[in-house]
Amino acid sequence: MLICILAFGSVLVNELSAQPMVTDVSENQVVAPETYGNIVWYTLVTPNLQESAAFYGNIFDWDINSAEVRGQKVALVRHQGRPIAGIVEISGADAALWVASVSTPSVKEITGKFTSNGGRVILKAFNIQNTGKQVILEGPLGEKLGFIENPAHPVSQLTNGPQQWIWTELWSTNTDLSRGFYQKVFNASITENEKTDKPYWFINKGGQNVGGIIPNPAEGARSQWVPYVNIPDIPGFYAGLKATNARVLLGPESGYRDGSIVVFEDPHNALLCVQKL
Amino acid sequence: MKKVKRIFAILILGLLFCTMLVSCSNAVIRPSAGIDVVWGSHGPKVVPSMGVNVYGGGRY
Repeated sequence: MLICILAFGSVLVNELSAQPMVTDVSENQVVAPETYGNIVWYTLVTPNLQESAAFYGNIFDWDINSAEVRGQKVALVRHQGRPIAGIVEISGADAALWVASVSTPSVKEITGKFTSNGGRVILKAFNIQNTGKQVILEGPLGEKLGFIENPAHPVSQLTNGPQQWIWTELWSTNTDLSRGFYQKVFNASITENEKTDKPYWFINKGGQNVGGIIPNPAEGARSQWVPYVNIPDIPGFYAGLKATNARVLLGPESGYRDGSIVVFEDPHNALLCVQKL
Repeated sequence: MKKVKRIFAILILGLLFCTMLVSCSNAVIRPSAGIDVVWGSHGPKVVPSMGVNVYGGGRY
């Protein structure tokens, strides 16, 4: 009996000591209201957290606090004190990837919807303190998308300011398949964007556009959800980016949308876009 | 009767102990068992290029 109690107590202590994986945040921060079906969080999966944190801390006005607990390397990204993203190191990952996470009332329910429509589970539900219970799933074309239950600090890509997330698009190698799949799992309407002559669809939830779908413009790249960060000073940002070992796919010199968008791969091949609104 | 209660107590604590072990096993985040995951945007030998004429993205 005594052995059982001691063993149980020991496990409990270990469990509690594992909790502070990231540091606490201020109570009086401003957080956007949670809306189910919206993208509310971003997680960078990387094979090397230290290198990724150094890169993003250099090109953006982000503070990145890393921690390691029982071999798991994680980090919390803040802008002006407000948590805006997480970073998780998966040593076996072949490349880095920004994973957008959608707010959901039930990780279990959305996982069932995904898998019954041709998706699969990539990372089983996990919980990093100060973020929320998350799962990473994969759509039918191999694109990864996270879902987060009761996010501790939901961000709003529709109202965010400079240095923060403002949009997410699925770059799809089969837009017909993607539109059908996400219409089902999101229970959303897919509407055509009439502001461009190139194919573009909005994912619309409750009358609000919450994401986009476009034919994959990155030749050789797989289907993936690609996030955008709001950068008011594109020339200044671009000069800094070119001084790193990032690989630029689209620079402001292209003239696309008046040079307001930069598309690049980080040193571990995660795709990311910045845009001046 | 006391012996039966003691056995029950040991069984319950044992069950709790196993539950906590399962919880601990999630501490290190890794792909689901048996899943072959390609995280990146392309294979190691492919360098993607941007089809500028195809790209119509960005927030509107």
